[in-house]
Order: sequence, then structure tokens, then C-alpha cells
Amino acid sequence: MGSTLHLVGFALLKITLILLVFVMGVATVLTWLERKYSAFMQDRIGPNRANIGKLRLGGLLHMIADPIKMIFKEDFTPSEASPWLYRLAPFLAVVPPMVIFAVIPFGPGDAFVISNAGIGMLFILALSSLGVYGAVIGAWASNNKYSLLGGLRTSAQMISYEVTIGLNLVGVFMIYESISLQGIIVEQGDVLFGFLPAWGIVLQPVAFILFLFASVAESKRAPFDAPEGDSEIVAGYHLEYSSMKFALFALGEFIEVVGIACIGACVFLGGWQIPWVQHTGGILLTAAEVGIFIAKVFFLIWLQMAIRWTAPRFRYDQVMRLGWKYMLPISLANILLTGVVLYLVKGA
Amino acid sequence: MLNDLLTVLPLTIVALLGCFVLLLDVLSGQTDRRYLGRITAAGFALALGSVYLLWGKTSLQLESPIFGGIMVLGRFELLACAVLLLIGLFVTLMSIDWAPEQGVSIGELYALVCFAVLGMMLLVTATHMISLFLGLEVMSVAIYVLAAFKRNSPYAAEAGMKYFVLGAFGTGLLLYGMAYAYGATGKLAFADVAQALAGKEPTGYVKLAVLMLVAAFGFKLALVPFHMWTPDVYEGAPAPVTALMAAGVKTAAVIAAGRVFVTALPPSALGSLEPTVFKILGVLAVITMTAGNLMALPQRNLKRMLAYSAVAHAGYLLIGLMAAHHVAGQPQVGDVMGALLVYLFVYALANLAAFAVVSLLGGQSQEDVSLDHLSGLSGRHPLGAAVLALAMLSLAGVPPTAGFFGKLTLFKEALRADEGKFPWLVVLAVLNSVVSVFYYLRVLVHTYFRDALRPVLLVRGTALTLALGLLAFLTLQVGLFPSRWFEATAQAARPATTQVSTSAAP
Amino acid sequence: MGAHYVPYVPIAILLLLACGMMAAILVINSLIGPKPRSVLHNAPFECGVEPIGSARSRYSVNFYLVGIFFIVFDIEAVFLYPWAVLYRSFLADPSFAFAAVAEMFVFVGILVVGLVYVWKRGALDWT
Repeated sequence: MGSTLHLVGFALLKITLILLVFVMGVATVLTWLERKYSAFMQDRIGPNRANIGKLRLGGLLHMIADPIKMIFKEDFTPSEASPWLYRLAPFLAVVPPMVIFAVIPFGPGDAFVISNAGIGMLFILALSSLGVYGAVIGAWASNNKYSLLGGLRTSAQMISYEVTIGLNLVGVFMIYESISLQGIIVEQGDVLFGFLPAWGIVLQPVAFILFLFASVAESKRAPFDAPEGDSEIVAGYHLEYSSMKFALFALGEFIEVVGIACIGACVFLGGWQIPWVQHTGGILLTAAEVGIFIAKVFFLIWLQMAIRWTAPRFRYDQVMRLGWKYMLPISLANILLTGVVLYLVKGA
Repeated sequence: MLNDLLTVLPLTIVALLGCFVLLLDVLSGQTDRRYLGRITAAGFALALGSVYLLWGKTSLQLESPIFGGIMVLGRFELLACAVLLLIGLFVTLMSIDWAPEQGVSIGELYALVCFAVLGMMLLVTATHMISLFLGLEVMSVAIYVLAAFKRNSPYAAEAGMKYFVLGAFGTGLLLYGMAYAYGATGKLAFADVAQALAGKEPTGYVKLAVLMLVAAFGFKLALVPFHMWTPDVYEGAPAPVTALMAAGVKTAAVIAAGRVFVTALPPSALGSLEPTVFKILGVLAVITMTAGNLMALPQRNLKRMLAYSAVAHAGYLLIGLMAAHHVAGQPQVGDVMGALLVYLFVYALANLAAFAVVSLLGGQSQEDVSLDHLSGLSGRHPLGAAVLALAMLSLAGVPPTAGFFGKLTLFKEALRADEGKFPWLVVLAVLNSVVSVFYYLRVLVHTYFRDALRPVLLVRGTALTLALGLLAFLTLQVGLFPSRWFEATAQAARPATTQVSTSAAP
Repeated sequence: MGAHYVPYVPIAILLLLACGMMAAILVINSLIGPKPRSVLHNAPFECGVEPIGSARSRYSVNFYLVGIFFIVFDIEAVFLYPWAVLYRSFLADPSFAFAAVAEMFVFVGILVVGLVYVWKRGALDWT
């Protein structure tokens, strides 16, 4: 009995720290940061109006003001919508990206990961496949033609790029001989030729680039935002959603951004490994390792934002062509190359 | 490893052939696809040559299981593969001239025939549940597509849909059967399953597994009451595809079912369940052949008639399967399996011949081939009429065609298997054969003794003529010199099956 | 407590917590938000024009094709995972090393045949 309580209590503590404090915190900040950063890149001022008296904090209060405003808005359901599917969709959009964080190790050992299930990446891939349901069910349930078009585009785009993500991870699994994220990170602690950290980005550079772009496409952010394409189909699959339901879609997207950054940091940037520093334990070193993991995550989040506000939107046929005719063959070639190189350097 | 790879050379050739034809079709951009058919036919001939080469190679340990015991490619399996490759060759030959007439000159036809034959070959060589399932799926998926190949024809769409839905249902049953067998034994290789079950009282899982496997093979073999799809699919699917279904699928499914019920679930493994299984199979055999023949009687559409005839023949084949099951573990099982293979071979030849004639009549996308269309064929296309006559006589089992000796051997082996249990089955089968003569001979009457009623557009081409000629030759060859063929198969079957039975013994 | 499902207990808690939080947010929202006023107000948005017909109509066959290709290629990728994880231990066995590499080429080769086929058939074109 005691061990059960211990297990549940410890799990709750980790969930609170990782999910509620870190993920939700970062996702909330991102709602403001994203707008501020776009304003910076487009030479605007950006959100700066929310205030408490004289206190403005450069618009930082928008991230509190927006949810408060949304929760007082009308919970709109279009006529002839399928009521239960319409309500289900936001859940499916936001819950799978949240549950992904259960297997992401924020530091060495079992203490910094919610669940040490060895299936790691398989779990993540399974959940990210569920992500497409949120958009598609929402689109179908809305009974709106723009939504349906958006939903169709979303489903085709997401499943197309999922293939690329899946195939690119094969090379990583071949090198690190593990599908558990912790296992992959531990293997990345090696040093090659005496100076090069054995990170995924070093050993699988092609896979890293393809993974990054495919993940951005998977989260439907610009330049892969044809499914939402405001200028063509208004807002795509979440056109009819308002108030908190819409907020959940938006929140799901920001959580996905954080999730992609975490997975990318774990698989390709060495996770919590500090380059050239052996993992020996000790509180200070562990704290530094957690810190550097979070730094890597922020770097990847910044990269995704920079991509979003730099590149113009792809036309839909270009999106599909990029996925199937460029990324997929390159991923297959990458697997073959990895296999041959591993065969040639067998001893190493 | 190298030995294993060399042994599966015929399968490799067919697999590469399928990929090659598929890619050639999309990469060449030529609109006339007859050359693809010629390449496919040449490829099948090459694979047959490789079978011949392997047959003579004593340095390869042919009778031993390969790839960790998931398949075996001994002499018996080589013969079965040769039969399947011949079927593939004939189907290709009759498609070459037929396809352009139908407006379905699409290269995928040949690739899919290759993949279907590959699946069949995998099916007859499988000694493991997983390879059995893999072979069945490779075969079935290709044939689902082939059945609906004439995309613009509603009949073909119906055929494809029916075959797909019921085929998927049958596959599901097979998977459940395998899963229950695995649950009961923890083993997937046939011999291991038999070993694990031997001498134990069958549990509920085993009963479910046997029941599901019987039903699954019932679907694939078109046993009554699992035969509902047969007439519509045979009628709707294009003639060469129906030939592939009638000849190829039946051959592969019977051999696979034989192997499952001989090596995985022999009487020793079923224990007290054995009499029940025997009764179920016996009843299935009787109603299958009786219902098939009775329903074939009123058919005026040649394809539907052949479909019900296929059902009836499934009943005869089931008697052979029961005999093989009954003597599992004894040296005699080799003879029974050999007789089954011979029967399948002559049945395949007759069906291929009949459907080659149906293809011959299918000029300009003609759909329905009723008896009226056959009237006066002897005047317009003497070779076609002669081949059709031979095929009908062979199906009816009239000497000196191959069909007579096929039936003779099968029934003889069934009687030899157990004097006490099989006579009534064989008597019923012979009576049924007598009934069937009526509808087979009616085709002859229309072909030779009636005047042409309506204009029929014939498909003309050298490949089809070649196929007709070869089929006529083979049917007569087997019919006139049967002993050579039978001895070869029995000899081939003996070591394979006895070896399996020794490995299955506890 | 059985050891094998211990790692999944936190996942289940996380799942419940996430669903509960989101449900709570939506319930609060629907309680304190304003209520719909008229039939027209509830019409689906079509740039101010009254909607003609249902949105749930037939759509381009290309989407179905992408669905089928996804199943083919993604399942193949999943089939590669167990092999990929074991690949280096295959290589460590000298008698099996070459077979492991050859198998990779066969498997990926079959995938490539499929890809070339759908590509040249024009199934990947969206114009």
C-alpha cells in the first residue's frame, strides 16, 4: 500500500513540475513571445496594451489577459454540427501532445522523467499519430466547408510528414540501439575522435534537418500552414471554434512546439549531456545538466519561431511534393547510408 | 543461409519479375503493353527452368526446413510450385491478347499475376503460421485487385468487392484460428504445434482453433456453406483472373490446408476431438459436392457453371484432404498428398482450358458467356471448340482425359487410407460425378451440335492459340500416359511428408 | 504490485489529469460565457452568405490515395524499428553481418519499388 502511495505521489509531483510548471508555463509564455518575436522580425511593436494600472511589462500581461478574455466568450456551436464530436476534437488536439511529456527525460536517471517505460519513441510516435484526429474530427464536426477543406489538408499533410519523421528516426535507432529516449541520450555521451560529441546532429545531420522540417509540418505552423491558410480557407479546421475551445487548439499547437523541441533536444542534441563533461552525478552537475537540457529546448523553440516568421507559406501541392518526392527518398537513402557506414566501421 | 537463398530461387525469380514488370510499365511509357505480357511469360518459363534445375540438385539439402523452419522446399513443394508457375504462365499467355480487347491494357495486370503466384508459392511451401499467413495475404490482396480489374464494369466491381469482403472475413477467421492455436500451444511452427498438442486432451482453445481453421479454409476453397461468393466473383472477374482463381488459389489453398491438417493438427494432436472433426469434414464434403453439382445443373452462363463446378470439385478434394489427415504420420500420407497434387494439376489444366476459351469469346469487352454464345463454335474456331470439349470431358472425369485419372487416383487413395470410413464418401462422390456429366456434356452439345445463334467476337492472337494448344496437349498427355506423372508426384511427396511426420512425433 | 505496469501508472495519471483539466476549462467556459441568441447566429461561417447544402460532401480522391500511401510507408517504417535497434548486434556477429546489410537493401528496395511506382503513376501529383 505504501509503495502504491509513494508511486502515485511521486508521479503527481513530477507531473506537476514538468507538465504544469514547465510545459504549460512555457506554452503560455509562448503565446506572448510568438507575437512579440514576429513583431520584432517585422519591425512592429507587437502586443503591449495589457496592463495593471501602470504596470505593462512590455505586454507580458497579455498571456494572462487572453485566457481571461476567452473564458468569458460565447461557447459557439454551429447549427447542424455533430455536438459530441465537436466537443471531443479540442481534447484530441491538446491531450496527446501533453501526454508525450510523460517519457521525456529532463535529466539523468529516473528522477527527471515521469515514466521510465522503455518504449520511449514508439509511445511518442503513437501519440503524435493521434494528433491528426483532433483536427480532422473538429473539421468534420463543424459542418463548415472551409473547415472540411482545412481538415482534409491537415490529415493529408500530417500523415505525409509522419512517414518522414518515422523513417528518419530509423537511422538514430540504428546508431544508438535503443528506442528509449533515456537510452538514446546516454549513448550520446560518447566522444568521437577525441573531440566530437556523439550527438544525433553530428552522426545523423540529414535526419536532424528532415526531422525538424517534418515536425514543423506536423504541427501545421508556417511555412506549412496551408491547412489553416487564413487567406484561402479562413482558418481551416478550427474556423468555427471560439472561446476556450479555440484556445485549446492554440494551446495544443504551442505544446506541440515545446514537445518537438524536447524530442529534438533528446534525440539529436544530446539531451541533458553536457559536451566533453562526463556524467558523474552530484547535485551541481545534475542541476547543470537539467539546465542545459532546458537551454537546448529553448534553442529549438527559437529555431521553430524563426522558421515560422521567416519563410512564406508553401502552396499545398508544394507541401505534398516536398514530403513525398524529396523528404521520403532522402530519408530512405539516409537509412541505407547509415547501414552501410555502420557495416564498414563495424568495430567502432 | 546461401543454401536457403538458392533453394527459394523460383520464388525470388517471380518476386523480381513482378517488381520488374511493375517498374517497366510505369517507366517505359509505351501504350501497347503486350510486350509486358511476353516478358512475364518468359519470366515464368525461367522460373520453371529454375525449378527443373533445383530438382536435379542433390547437393542442396532440399527436404530440410529453410529460414529457421518457416518454410520447406522439397521435391513435393517444387512440383507444387511448378504447377503454380504453369498456371501463371497460362494466365499470362491468355491475357496478352485478351487484355487489349477489353480496354484494360494496363501493365499492373502482369505484375499482380506475378505477386499472386508468388503468394501461392509461399503458401504451398509454408510450414509456419506466419509464413502461411504472409503467403495467403500476398496472394489474396493481389487477387482482390485483379478481380475488379475491369474498372468500368459494374460486374467486376461487384466481384472485387464481394471477394474482398468475404476474403478478408476468411482471413480474419484464419488469424483467429492461428491465434487460438498459439494460445493453446505457445508455438507457431506446424510441427511444434502438433508436438505440443500430442497426447493431451484438447482444450477449448484447440477446439476453437480447429473450428476457425476449417471455416477459414472453407472460405478459401469455396466449401458449402462458405461458397456464396463463388458464382458472382467467377462471373464478374475477367476470364484470365477467374482462371487464376479457379486453378491457382484452389491448388495453393488445398496444399496449405493439407499441410495444416497433416503436420499441425494430425489426428494424434486432436485426441478425442478427432471423430468430431472427421464428421464435420465429411458432412462438409458431402454437402459441398452435392450442392455444387445440383446448383451447376441449371446454369446457362458458362462462368457461373464453372463456379459451381469448382464448388463441387472442392468437395471431391476435401475427401482427399480428409484421407491425408486420416493417415497423417504414416508413410502412406505421401501417396495421398501426391494424389491430391495430381488431381489439382489436372483440375487446373481443365479450368485453364475452359477459361482460355472464355477469354477467346471475350472480344470487345463482352461480359456474359452463355451457352448460346458457344453455339457453333466448332465451325468458327475448331481449336477452341476442341479444347473446350477436352476440358469439359476432363472435368467430368471421362477417360482418356486427365480428369479421369485424377479422380481415379484420388478416390483410390481415399479408399486405401481407411477401408471402414471412406467408402460411403467415395460412392457419393462417384454418384455426384455422374450427375455432373450432364452439365459438362451440355456445353459440348452447344459447341458442336447447335448452329450459331448470335454473332460472337473472338479474340485472335498467337499467345492465346499457343496457350490453347499447350493446354490440349498437356490434358491429353496426362490422360494417355498417367503413370509417369503419378509416380513422380508420389515419389516426391513421400520423403517430404514422412520427414515432417518424424519431426512431429513426440 | 506487478513490476511490468509500474511505468504506465504515471502515464495514466497524466492522461487523466490532462483530460480533467481541459474538461474543467470547457465546463467553466460554457457556464460563464454568453448563450447563443438566434438561428442565423448559429449558421456556419461562409463569408456572410447563407450556406448552400451540407459541407459533408465528396472530396478529391487524392486524399484517399495519401491515406493508403501513409499506411504502406508508415507501417514499413514501424517494421524497421525492431530491426534498427538490433542492427549493430547483427553486425557484431561476423557470420550474419553481411546478411543483415543485404536484408536492409531488400527491404528498403521493395519500399523504393513501391515509391517509384506511385510516383511515376502520377499518384503524388497535386495539380
